[in-house]
Amino acid sequence: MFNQKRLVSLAVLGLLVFSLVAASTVAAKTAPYEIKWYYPCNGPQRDLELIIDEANKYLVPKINATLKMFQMDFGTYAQKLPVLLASGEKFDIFFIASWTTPSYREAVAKGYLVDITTLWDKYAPKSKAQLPSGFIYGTQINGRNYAIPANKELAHQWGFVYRADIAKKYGFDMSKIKKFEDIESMLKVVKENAPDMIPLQNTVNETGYKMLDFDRIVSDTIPAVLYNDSKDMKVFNELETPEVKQYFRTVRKWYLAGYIPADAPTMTNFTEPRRAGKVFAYCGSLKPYVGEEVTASLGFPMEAVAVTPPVVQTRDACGSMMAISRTCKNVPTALKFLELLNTDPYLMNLILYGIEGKHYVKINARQIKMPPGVTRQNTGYRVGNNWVFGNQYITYVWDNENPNKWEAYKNWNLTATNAKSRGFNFDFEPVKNEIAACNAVWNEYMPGLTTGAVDPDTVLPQAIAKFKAAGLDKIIAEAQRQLDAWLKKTKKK
Amino acid sequence: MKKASFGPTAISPLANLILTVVLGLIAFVIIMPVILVIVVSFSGEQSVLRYGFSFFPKQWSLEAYKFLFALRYQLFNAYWITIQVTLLGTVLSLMTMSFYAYAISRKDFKYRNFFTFFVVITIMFNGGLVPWYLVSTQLLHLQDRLWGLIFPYLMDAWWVLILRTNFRTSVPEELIEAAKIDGAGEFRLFFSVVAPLARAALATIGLLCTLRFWNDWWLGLLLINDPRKTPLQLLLYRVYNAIQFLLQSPGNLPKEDVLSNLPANTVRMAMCVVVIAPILVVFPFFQRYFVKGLTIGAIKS
Amino acid sequence: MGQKRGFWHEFKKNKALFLMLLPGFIVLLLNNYLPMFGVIIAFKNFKFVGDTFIESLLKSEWVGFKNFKFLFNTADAYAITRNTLLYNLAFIVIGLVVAVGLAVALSEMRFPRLARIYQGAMFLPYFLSWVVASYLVYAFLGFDTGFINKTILARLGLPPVSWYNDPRPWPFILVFMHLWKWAGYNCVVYLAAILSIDPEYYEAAIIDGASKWQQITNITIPQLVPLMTVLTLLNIGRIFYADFGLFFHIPRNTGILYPVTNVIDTYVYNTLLYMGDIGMSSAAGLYQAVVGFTLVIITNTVIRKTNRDYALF
Repeated sequence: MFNQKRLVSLAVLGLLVFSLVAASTVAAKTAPYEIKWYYPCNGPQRDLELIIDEANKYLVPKINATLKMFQMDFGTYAQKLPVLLASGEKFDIFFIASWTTPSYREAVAKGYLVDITTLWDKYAPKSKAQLPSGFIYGTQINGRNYAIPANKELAHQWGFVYRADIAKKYGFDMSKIKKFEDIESMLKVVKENAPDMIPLQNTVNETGYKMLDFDRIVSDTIPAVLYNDSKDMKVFNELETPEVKQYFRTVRKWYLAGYIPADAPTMTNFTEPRRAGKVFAYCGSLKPYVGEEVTASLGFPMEAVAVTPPVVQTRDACGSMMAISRTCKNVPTALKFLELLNTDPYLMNLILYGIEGKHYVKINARQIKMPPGVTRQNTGYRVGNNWVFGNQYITYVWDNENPNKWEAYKNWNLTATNAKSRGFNFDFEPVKNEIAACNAVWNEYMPGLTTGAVDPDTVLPQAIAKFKAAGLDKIIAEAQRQLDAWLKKTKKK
Repeated sequence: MKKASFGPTAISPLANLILTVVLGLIAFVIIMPVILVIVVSFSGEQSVLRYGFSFFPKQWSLEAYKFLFALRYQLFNAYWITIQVTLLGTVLSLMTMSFYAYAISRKDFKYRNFFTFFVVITIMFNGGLVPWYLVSTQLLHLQDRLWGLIFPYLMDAWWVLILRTNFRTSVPEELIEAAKIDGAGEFRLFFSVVAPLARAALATIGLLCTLRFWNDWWLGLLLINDPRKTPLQLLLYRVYNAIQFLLQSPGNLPKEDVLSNLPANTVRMAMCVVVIAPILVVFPFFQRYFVKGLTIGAIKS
Repeated sequence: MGQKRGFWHEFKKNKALFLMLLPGFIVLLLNNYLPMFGVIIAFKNFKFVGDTFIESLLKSEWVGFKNFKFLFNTADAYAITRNTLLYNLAFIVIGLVVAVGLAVALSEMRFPRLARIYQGAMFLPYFLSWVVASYLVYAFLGFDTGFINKTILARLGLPPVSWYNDPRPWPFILVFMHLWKWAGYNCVVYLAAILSIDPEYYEAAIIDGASKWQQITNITIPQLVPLMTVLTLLNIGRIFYADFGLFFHIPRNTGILYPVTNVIDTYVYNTLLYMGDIGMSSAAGLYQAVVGFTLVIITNTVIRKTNRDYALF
C-alpha cells in the first residue's frame, strides 16, 4: 500500500515537474513579436530585406522580436501618417515631430500615442539616461512623456543648402549671402545657363518662409507667434507684418521668373529631384557639418550657408522622435527595441548604414566609407537622414564628414541663444476647434503664398480675413493668456 | 439607328453636312485628350521638356516604356491585384445582387416588401463617410485586404431594383408556377428559368460591375496603405503625386539608380496608357452591348 | 405571437429564398446599416480612449451639437454647401440641354454608321476613371509642359497660365469635365428613347406639312419630356451629393483652389484623413446625409405624382 501510495505521489510529482518544464520550454519558444516600424527617409531601399534579416538575427535572441520596417520619402510619409493613425492600423513604432501632420502635440491630444512616462524607466532606462534633460522635459506634455526624442543637436538654424559643384562652375561667392533675398543673382545665372535645373526648390513646407524664424509657440500651422528675442512678449499674427509681405513678394517674383518650380505648392516629394541632382539650392535646416551629411545622403557635393542665427525654441526638443502607437500590442518589447536602438551602436549603424562590408567599410572607429565598386548611386542601402532614428552620438560618420561632428553638435548647442519663450508649452484644448479651422485655412492658403505660386497682393488679404473668421484672434488671446501666466510663474521662481 | 429607313423624314443635305461636321468636331474634342496622352507616352522626354506635350512631337521614343518595364514590379503587381478584384468582385456581386433581386421579385413571397424596403432605405439615407470608414477599418478590418476592395461594392441598391423589375417583366409568372409544380427548387428555378430569360439585364449589370471594379480608386484610397496591395487606379493616382511610388517595393528595385535620368513626364503618361489600354481594346466590343443594355434598362425600368 | 408563427412558417416554406437573401442582407447590414448607428460620433468628442472601437465610442464624451455649431461657424460650411449646390445645378441644366441636343442631332444624321462612330467616341469617357481623366486634364493644363500653355498660348504670344494655382477658370473646367464624362452616356439614354418613338407620329406630321424643326419641337422633345423629368428629378434628389472624383482628382486636391473646388464630399474626406478631425468631418457628413435624405423624400413624392413607375416607394 505504502509503496503504491508513494508510487502514485511520485508519478504525480513527476507529472508536475514535467508539465512545468514543458510550460517553460513553451514559454521560451513563444513566437517573436513582430515590430512594425514606420519612418521617413530617402525612400524605400533595395536591400531593405537584407538589413531586416540581419537585424532579426540580432534581435530575436536579445528581446525576442523581429522587425518590419516601412520606409518612405518624407512626402509620402506626410500623407500616410494621418491615415495610419485615423484608421487604427496595427503598428508599433513611428516617427513623429513638432512639424509632422498630425504634430506631436495633436497626436497626443487625440490619444494616438502610448504614455511611456513610467514604462520608459522600466524597459528603456539607458535610452533615457543618455538624453540631456532638456530633451526629456522639452518633450513632455503636462508632465508626461509620449515619445523618445532623438539625441541630436538642440538648436535650429535656417539657411540654403546648395550644389557646391554648380556654385563653383559659375563662380558664385555663396558666403556673400546674408539674407534670403541675396541668392537672387545666383538663381538667375542658374536659370539662364542650366534650364534643366531647379534653381531654388522652394516647395511646400520647405520654403524660405522658415528663414523668417518666428517663435511658433502654438503650432507650426497657426500664425500666432512671438519674435525669438521678443521684448514685450506680445503674441501676434505674423501675416500682418511687413517682413512677411516682403517675403511673399520676393518669392512671387522668383516664381514668375521660373526660379521656383511651377508645381512647388503641390509637390510634396522633394527628395526625388534632389536625389536626381536636379536641384541647385533649397532652404534647409542647418547644423554643424550639414553639407557633408547631405552630400553623403544625396550623392552630390553639397554645401550650406546660414541665414538665421542658431536658436533654441521649445519646439526644437520635439524635432525628431520615435513614438509607440496606441495599437501596439506589446509595448514593453517596442520599448526594449528603442532602448537597443538608442544605446547599441551595432543595431543603430546597421539600420542607418546597412551591412558592414556590403554597404560600407570602416576606416577607423568613427568613420566609414563606401566599399570598393559601390557608389552612392548604385548602393542598395542609403536611407540618409540619420537624425530621424535616434541617438546620433553612437553613429558612424562618412569619410567625407568631420570625425568630430558629434562633439561639434554639443558645442553648437551651447552657442545657441534661447528663445524668450523656451520652456513654455501651449495647451490647445481650450481652442481646439479654432486650431482645427485655422489649420484648414493654413493648408488652403500658405502653400500658394509661401512658394510664390499666387499673387500676395490679392491673396494675402483673403488669407488674413479667413484666418480671422476661423477664430485666429481667439487663439492669439488664449496663447497670450497662457504665456502671461507662464511668465508670472517662472518669474516667481 | 433605324432612322435611315424613315426616308421622307430625313433632313436636308445641307443640314446633314452641318450636323456631320459639328458633331464630328464634338466627338473629336472628346477623344482628343486620350490621343494626346498616347502620343506623349511615345515622345522623347527632351522634346517634351522643350516643346511641351504635343500632338506632333519633334522626337518619337520608346524610352518611357523601357523605364516603365524596368520598374515593372509595382505595375504588374497592381495589375494582378485589379484583375483578381475585378473577376472575383464581378462574380460575387452579380450573384449577391441577382439572388436578392430574385427573392424580392417573387410576388408570392410574403416578406418581399420588407426586404425591398431594406434595400431602398440605403438609397435614401447613409451614415456618411466617417462612420463608414471607422466601421470598415475598426470593426470589419477591411484595410489592406483584397476583400476590402470587393465587399463594400457587393450590393448596389439601384442595380438590385433594376434587376428586380427586370425579373418581373421578363419572366412570366405562369412559368414560375409551372416550374414549381414540377418540383423545381428556387435555385434551379433561378438558374434554369429566370437567369436565361433575363440574361440581357444580367449581362448589363455584370458589365457595370466589371467596369466599377476595374476603375475603382475610391476604396483603395480609403483602405489600402500597403504598396504591395495597391490596385491599378490607385497606383496611377499615387504616381501622379510622386513617381517614386513605382519604387515602393523594396527587394524588387532595379539595380541602378534610375531616378537620376527617369523621364518623369513621359513615364507618367505611359503609365496612364498602360492602365487604359485594356479598356481601349475591349471598348468597341463592349460599347455595343452596353448601348443595347442601357436601352433595355432605360425603357423598361 | 401570431405574426411570429407566421414568420417561422414562411421561413420554413421559403428556406431557399431566405438563403438567397442572406448574402445581400449581411452586406447591407454591415456596410450600410452599421455605419448608420455610427452617426452618434457626430455628437461626441471622439477619441481613441479604449482598446476597441466600440469601447472608444462609448467612452468618448457627449458634446451635443457642439461639432455642428463649430462647423457652421466656419466659412467653409457656407462655401462647401454653395459649391455643391451650384455645381450640381449647373451639371443638371447644362447636362440636360447638351445630352438631349446631342441625342436629337445624332438621331437626325443621315449616315447612321458615322453616327454610331460619333456616339462611340462620345461614350468613351464613361469608361475612363476620374484618375485617368486627371492625367488627361494635366496634359492640357500643366504649367511647364501642358498643351495649352506650350502650344496654344505660346503660339498666340500669350504668357503661360498657372492653371492649378488660379481659382478663376476652375468653375468652367469642372463643368466642362463633367460634361465630357457624362454627356455621351446621357445622350445614349435619350437616343434610345428617341428611337422608340412611334414612326407614325412623324409620318402624320409630314402629311400635315410640318418642317423638320417643327417635328423636333412638336414630336421628339415632347415625347422625351417624361424621361427628362424623371432623370432631372432623380438628379435633384442627389443635389447634395457631389461627384467626389471630379472635385478631388481633376484639381489635384490643391488648397489654393478650394474656394471653388471644395464640396461637401471632399471637405469630409480632407477633414477626416488629412486633418484627422473626426468631430468636424462626421458633423459635415451627417449634415449632408440629413439634408440629402429630405431632398430624396421630397423629389420622390414629386416623382410619384408625375410618374408612379419611377418612384422609389
